[in-house]
Amino acid sequence: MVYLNNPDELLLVEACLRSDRKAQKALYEKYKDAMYTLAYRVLGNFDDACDALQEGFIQVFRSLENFEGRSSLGAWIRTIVVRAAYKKLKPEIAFEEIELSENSGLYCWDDNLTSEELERAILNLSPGYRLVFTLVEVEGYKHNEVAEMLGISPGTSKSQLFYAKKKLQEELAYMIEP
Amino acid sequence: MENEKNNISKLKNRLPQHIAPESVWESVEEQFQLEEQSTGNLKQAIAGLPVYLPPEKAWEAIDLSLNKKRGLVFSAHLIIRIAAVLILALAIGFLIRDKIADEKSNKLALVEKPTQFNLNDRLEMPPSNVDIKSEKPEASKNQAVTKNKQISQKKEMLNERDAIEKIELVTISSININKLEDYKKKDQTQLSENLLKSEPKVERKTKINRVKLIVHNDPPPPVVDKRRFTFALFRPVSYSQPTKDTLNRNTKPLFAASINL
Repeated sequence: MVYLNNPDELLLVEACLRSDRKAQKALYEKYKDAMYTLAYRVLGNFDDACDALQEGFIQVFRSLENFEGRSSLGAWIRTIVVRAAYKKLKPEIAFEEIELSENSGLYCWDDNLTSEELERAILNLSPGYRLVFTLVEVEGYKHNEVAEMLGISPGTSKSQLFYAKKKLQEELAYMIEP
Repeated sequence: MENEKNNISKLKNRLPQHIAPESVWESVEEQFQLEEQSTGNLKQAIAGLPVYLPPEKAWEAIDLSLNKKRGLVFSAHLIIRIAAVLILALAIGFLIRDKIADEKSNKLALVEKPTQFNLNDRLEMPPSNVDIKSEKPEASKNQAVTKNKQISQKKEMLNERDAIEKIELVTISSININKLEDYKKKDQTQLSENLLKSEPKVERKTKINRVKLIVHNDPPPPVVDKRRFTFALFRPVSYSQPTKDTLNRNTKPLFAASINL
């Protein structure tokens, strides 16, 4: 049984559960861009992002009957797409728990930082840093949520984010200075 | 010990208190502001990150996969419906078959068994206590007229019975029919020869081709269902005035046989 506050989403979910093709397309249309962008940002290339999107949405429609509505539908779909993307990325990632240095948390982001520069810098990060930075800073997940999703400890998530930011600043400095 | 403690507390109170310089707070505040601004810059940059549109083929692949599922669901529903219809058709078929079987058994029940009374009835025999020779000629004439009417009515009845028997014979397998026909032919020839020899004076109005076949539906045994076919051959029906001799002779069938199938 699905409990959703949004009546439109509830109708959409119920129609999808009846294998209504139009409702399934409508649900896909509603979330496709955000999920594709997320998958691209995590995976770093469009082909893999497309695959993750397909796998994610197939999984969404197959397990829609298990959706209990404890979170929003968008958050639930996003989690599935992240897991689909992480499944592809997993062979390339080896998370290591690194101790944080004393001055952790102090970053300096330039006033002239543009989105394009940041995007390029994110794509230049290693897969592990890119994944955690995207999930925490871009998608707004908390460290314990990321830890649960990726099967790591919250400490590892924090350290990965710290080094990801450090690496980003180095990348941005390199991009801006020359 | 107590004196020492009191002295220390007195000394503590006498220690000078220093006022923190304003510059410290300024630097901390500056640091916070810098950090906030930096985070703001990052958030602003993140908010402006581009959104990408997936290609159309992504939905096609998803739809194809979902179609397979839909197809499977549809096939499952179709199979269930076909099975339900088949079961229903079978049930109706069994019901119809039982009904036909009941009707057949009812028809067979209508066909009377060749009892003594029936045989007399068939051969239009007068009651056994009536003295044939003592009847008056006029009365006999009236009786003959009424008898003729009765005979014609009973002929019709017999024809109907024969028709029913023929219907029943159709259901018997071809092998059994062939066997029955062989018996029939054999007995007919023997009978006709015997009759010609034994009673040349009797006027024969009917042919000697009447084979009465009666199918008995015996109650089925507990394990094996057997059907027994009994058939009997009677003397030809003569509508002339019967004599005592013919009366005695015609009450018994010339030939009777039964086959267990």
